[in-house]
Amino acid sequence: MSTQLQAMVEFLSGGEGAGSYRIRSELADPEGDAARFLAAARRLSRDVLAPHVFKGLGLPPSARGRVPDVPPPLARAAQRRFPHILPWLITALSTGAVLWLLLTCPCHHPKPDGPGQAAALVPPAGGEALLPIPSAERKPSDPAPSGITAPSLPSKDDPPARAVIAADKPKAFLPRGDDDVGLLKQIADLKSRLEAGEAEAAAIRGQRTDLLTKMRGIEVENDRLGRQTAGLRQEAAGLEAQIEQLGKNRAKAIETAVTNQTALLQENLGKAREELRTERAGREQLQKQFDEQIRALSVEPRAKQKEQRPR
Amino acid sequence: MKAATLTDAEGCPTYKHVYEKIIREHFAASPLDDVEDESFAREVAKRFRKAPLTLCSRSIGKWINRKLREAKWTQQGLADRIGVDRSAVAYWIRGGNITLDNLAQVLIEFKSQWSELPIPARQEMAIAAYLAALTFVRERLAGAPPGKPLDRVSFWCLYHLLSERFWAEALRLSVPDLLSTEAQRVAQAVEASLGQRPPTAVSVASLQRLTAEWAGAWLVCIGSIPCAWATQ
Repeated sequence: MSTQLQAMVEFLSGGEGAGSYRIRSELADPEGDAARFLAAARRLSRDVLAPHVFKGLGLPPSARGRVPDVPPPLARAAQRRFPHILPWLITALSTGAVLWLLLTCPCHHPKPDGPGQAAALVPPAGGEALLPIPSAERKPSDPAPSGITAPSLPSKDDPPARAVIAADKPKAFLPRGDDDVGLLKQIADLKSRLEAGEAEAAAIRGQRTDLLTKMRGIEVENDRLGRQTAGLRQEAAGLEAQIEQLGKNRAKAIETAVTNQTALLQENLGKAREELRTERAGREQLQKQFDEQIRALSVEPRAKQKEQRPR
Repeated sequence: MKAATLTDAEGCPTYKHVYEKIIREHFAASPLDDVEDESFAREVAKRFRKAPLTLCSRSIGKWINRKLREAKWTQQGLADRIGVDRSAVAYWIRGGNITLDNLAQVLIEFKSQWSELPIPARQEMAIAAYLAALTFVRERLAGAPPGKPLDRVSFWCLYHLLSERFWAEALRLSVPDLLSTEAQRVAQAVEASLGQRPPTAVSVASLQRLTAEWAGAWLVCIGSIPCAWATQ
């Protein structure tokens, strides 16, 4: 049975054996070992020409060749954070938009003569107020601020509010009394406001998506710049070390050359002095011989002259 | 096998355990004959370091030869000037390693500066290092020297093929059109990396042959060298 690595090589070379089949089926699971192994191999392969490899090689910086432009992997925090936050953000924004619409609706605005009581939307019988009303301020005969007849307060015999809402929810806002037309208009207005709010929420969502995209791009760029900066710092450190080493070597080489040259010059000077001394001695010797010869030449003729002089 | 320590930008230990597990499993199933795991990693790193030095020495040797021709000196003349044997000068010219002291002496004799020394581009040295290490790993894995050494075109093919997910995805889906498209993408990327059209055509069949022969060495090699050095 082949190892996982052999099976992976067989798969990557397009083989049709059992190992390749096994890897292909494992790759269906993105969190499986095979998929994670390939992801790690991709990252390591991209790192083949990364700056830290050059640093590890101890290579000096020089004319950099053509390095393929492999985009750096996205920051993992960003990859995890945004999908995780996304549904919560959408829910919060939608809820906020609906609440804003409900609170800014004119049918829910409080009347100046009814302090506190108009702040609540009073549902029909058996319903449940959308906003809490203090029990002390609430009267069964109080009319609804928008013309809705006020229902009686729920008694103990009434079914639980939650169940009633579930059963009677479509009827909760049905118009009653003489103001049906006005209420229908209000409902239409409410609908149009709701649509406008939804459109606004969609626009906000679009802006948020754009911002997220920009933010992601900035993070990628920041990541890339960070790596580049680190690489440049490493290169600068390497350069400084090399310059220092080269300075030392150069000083050493110059010192060695000067020492050698000085020694050679001294040796030559010594030789020249010796030659000069030898030459001087030879010259003195020659001078002595010359003097002797001169002396001899001058003494002998005088003696002969004395002998030959007639007496 | 020395543990591959993948440093993640976010500090997340994501995939390194799976990678290590699979590489370890392979070496546990088919252990190397006479090489211990630790020394195997050391040998790979040694090859990885040695190749750039060889490349630099070759360039320096060519430079010394050129300067000798320009100065109309003989190898013996240079050897006499710096006090070495003539065979040493011949060794340097052939691409042998030269010590820093001797190099300084050569520079003084030629009245040259350090900046005049030719140093190959970093990328060239890194690729040479990978080629040496890959050849060594391939030889150890297969138990025999590879029939054909890995050239630069093949290196770039493997690099672009294994740096992206498209090839594996096309194989997983078994769609021939996707494989052809991916082969075209790799061919274009290799051309861009080399700066010229590759001498041999890059096709699906050639990529399959290449991965069958070299992908194992690649997967072991990339886990042994750069990751460990990144954290040292």
